[in-house]
Amino acid sequence: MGRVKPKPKVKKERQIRSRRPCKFCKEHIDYVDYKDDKHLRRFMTERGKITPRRITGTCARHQRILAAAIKRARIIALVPFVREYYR
Amino acid sequence: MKDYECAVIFAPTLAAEVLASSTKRYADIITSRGGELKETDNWGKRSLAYEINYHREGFYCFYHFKGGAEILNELTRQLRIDETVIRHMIVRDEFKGRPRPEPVREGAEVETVHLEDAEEDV
Repeated sequence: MGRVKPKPKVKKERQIRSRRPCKFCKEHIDYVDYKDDKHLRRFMTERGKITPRRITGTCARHQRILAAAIKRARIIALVPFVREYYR
Repeated sequence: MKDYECAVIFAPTLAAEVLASSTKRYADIITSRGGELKETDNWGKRSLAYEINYHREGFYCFYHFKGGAEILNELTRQLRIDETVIRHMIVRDEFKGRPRPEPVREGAEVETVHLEDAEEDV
C-alpha cells in the first residue's frame, strides 16, 4: 500500500481590496438612532441579519454602536428579527 | 435624575379617544411624580416589522423625559398591565437634551424599495 503523496498546497491568492472607509467615521457620527429604521436597514441583509463589518466597511467601534441600535429597533418592531419570504 | 426615552406601541384597534387618553396617561405618570417630560413624539399608525399579538400595525409614541427610578418602576408596571399597549421599551436617552441630528436618509430608497417589493409576495 503506497501512501499517496500529499499534493503540494497551492496557495490561493487572496484578492486585495482597498479598505472601505467607515461611513460613520467619515461623517463624524457618534450616535446611531434606533428610531431611524430606514438608515438601519441599509446595514442589514434582506433576511434581517446585521451585515458584517467586512462587507460594509464599518469600523469596530461604530459596528458595536450600530448593532446595539439595530437590536433596539428590533424590540419595538421597526426592523425585523428575521424576514421569511414564504410562509 | 437621568434622561430616558420611552417607546410605546398601542394596539391598532383603538378608537381615537381611547388612544388619546392612553397617550396622556403615561405623560401624567411621568409629570405627576416629579419627572420632567421634555417631548412626546407621536408617529401615528405604522406597520410593524413582525406580528405582535396578531397585530400587523401599531400606534407609535415616544416620550423623552427626565426622572428617577420611581417613575421608571411605575411606568413599567403600568405599561405591563395596560392591554392597549402591545409593546414598550425604556432606554437611556443618549442625547441628554442636546440637539438631535437629522436622521440619515440619503441613499435609503434603493434598499427599502427592494424590501417592500418582497413584502408584497408574502
